[in-house]
Amino acid sequence: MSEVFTIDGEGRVVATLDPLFATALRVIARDVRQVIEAGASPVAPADDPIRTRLYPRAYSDPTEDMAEHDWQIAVHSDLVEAKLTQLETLAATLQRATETPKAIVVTLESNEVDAWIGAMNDARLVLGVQLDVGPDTDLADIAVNDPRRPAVDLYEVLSFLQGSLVVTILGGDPEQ
Amino acid sequence: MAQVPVEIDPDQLEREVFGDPQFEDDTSLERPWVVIVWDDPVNLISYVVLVLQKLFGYSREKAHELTMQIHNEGKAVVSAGTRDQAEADVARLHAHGLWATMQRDT
Repeated sequence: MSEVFTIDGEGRVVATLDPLFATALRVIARDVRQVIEAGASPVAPADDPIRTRLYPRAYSDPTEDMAEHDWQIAVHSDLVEAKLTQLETLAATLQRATETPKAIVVTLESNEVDAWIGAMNDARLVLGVQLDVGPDTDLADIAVNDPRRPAVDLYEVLSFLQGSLVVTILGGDPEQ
Repeated sequence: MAQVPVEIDPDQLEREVFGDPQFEDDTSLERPWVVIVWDDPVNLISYVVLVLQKLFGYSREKAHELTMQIHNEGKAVVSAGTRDQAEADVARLHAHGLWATMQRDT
């Protein structure tokens, strides 16, 4: 397969997406928004693991609950806003993409690259909680006819795309 | 009416206190809070390296070393400072989806 992300002569990232990849990105631009908006209140409802993962506590010490409350009030709406803006940027870049029979092509400015990486990360965090991904999880164990399979497929496509984009802008894989 | 406190030494008063490097040194030594990033089975290693480079200006080597410490030992201290600095760092890390907390340095 040819490279999904390349750098053009002006240092910008060019995404050349298989239609399947473009669909995955359109799905998260459409669906992750609802999850982010559901967690928009700075007061955390109990037992919401997705919200807990997207907006963790800052203070590990429970005796700092007052400081934690003040910090959440101060930062939460900005965190929500930034996540929504990333999704809007992702949707807007896909809208202006050029479609050819084999690929969807779009050139990204650096803030757009950040939005793609951030939106894909948020989507993977949400899917990771839904799929209960742990350190020893092997998603290949989930059968093709399992009702979780569509979420697994989306997660794996996003892992590939996010990893490819990060390695492209780092100029190489830091693990090698 | 306020009176001039007579015990002030005029020589001391003439010292440059605004931006005095000695004062900066004093405050930089007070670093009672640390920011910890915890291992997470979802975040990609390459992504964590990128975020640590971007947020803290770490070199590739330093960011990779910290990321592997998070991955292998379950956590790593990524920054230290005052309570306000730690709160700001945790907010930036959460904005990037990393699982970060802050605590007093022990």
